[in-house]
Amino acid sequence: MIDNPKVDYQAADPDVRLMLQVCDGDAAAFEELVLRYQARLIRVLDNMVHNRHRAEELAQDVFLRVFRARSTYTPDARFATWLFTIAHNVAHNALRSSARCREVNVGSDKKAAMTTKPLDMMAVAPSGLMPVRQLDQVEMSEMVRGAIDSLNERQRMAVLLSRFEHMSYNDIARTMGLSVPAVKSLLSRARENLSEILKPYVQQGIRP
Amino acid sequence: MSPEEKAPHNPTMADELVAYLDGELDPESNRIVERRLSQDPEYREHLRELEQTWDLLDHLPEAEVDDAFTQSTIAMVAVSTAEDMRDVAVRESRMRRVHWCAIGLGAVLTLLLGFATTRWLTTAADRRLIRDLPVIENVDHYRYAEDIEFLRMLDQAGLFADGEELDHDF
Repeated sequence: MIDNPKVDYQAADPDVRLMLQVCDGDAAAFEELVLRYQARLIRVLDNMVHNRHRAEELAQDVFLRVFRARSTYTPDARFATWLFTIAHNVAHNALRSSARCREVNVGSDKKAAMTTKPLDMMAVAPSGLMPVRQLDQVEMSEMVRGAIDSLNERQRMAVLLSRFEHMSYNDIARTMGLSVPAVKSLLSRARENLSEILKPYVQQGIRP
Repeated sequence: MSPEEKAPHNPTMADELVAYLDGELDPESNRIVERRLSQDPEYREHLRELEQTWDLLDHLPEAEVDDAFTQSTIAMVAVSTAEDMRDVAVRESRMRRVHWCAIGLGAVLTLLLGFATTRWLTTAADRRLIRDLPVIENVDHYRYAEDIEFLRMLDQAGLFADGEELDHDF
């Protein structure tokens, strides 16, 4: 865990001040925090669990945990770092329990597995099979999402926090309970993998 | 094959390039990367690919959240808080009952202990009185004795033959 005791987060981060108001029983401050973070939280969680409805449930769970933690909250990190630490744990637990469910239902998924082409296979498919054309926005987002989905859980979370939350390696390390060198290596591998998968589009403009 | 194994990973090159793009290198490492970028076209190409694929992530749609979600979140937290408070109230009520039961039990135990102690003390005094009864009955006679040694002599001579042994504590 990385601590920076020299930073006065209360002075530096307005969201920390809002959370401190929540600690004092200010319901409006909590609503403001929900408004500020709900979309960001759902975006990250949706990309983690691949299910918008589930992501909303998990986001509500995160906000509930935030509210319940108000009596023990101490401003020793940016609010976003603290919030996404909770979100990371919630997402990790959700993925673990859904993985258990998948183990049980693995037999029923055989048909789907046969018809779905994994993205890493698509990446190495002969480019001549695909018509060369400009992808529209929906296709583009599907392609990128597929690439993100092909990363493992930790790589995915690190990428999402880095790209969409603009977190430093230090904050990502704190959020995910890793060391800074581990985050550096994790992000490097993740970006190498993304680059490999999306190379057909980047180089030739075709869908991988 | 796991995603971690998919891409060939040259830790030094990839880690440094990615950290360079993320602005996470110290000034010295930054200079080294920039020097290499100016000299190595392959390294430059790799950087360009990493940048381009990174920029493609902007095509992931932002989450649109309506007011209903916000309101249901606030309502859910409020309901949960009310349930928590109810649970706390129930717990506190239970604790109060346990507290009063403990006080009552303590009072009963104190009473019992007091009763037993008093009874024991009283019985002990009675036992002493019964033991000393022969002496008490003859106390008028004993008063004529000059000292305890004289009484012991009388005792040894068998003058207290009816079981009235001289109390050593006398």
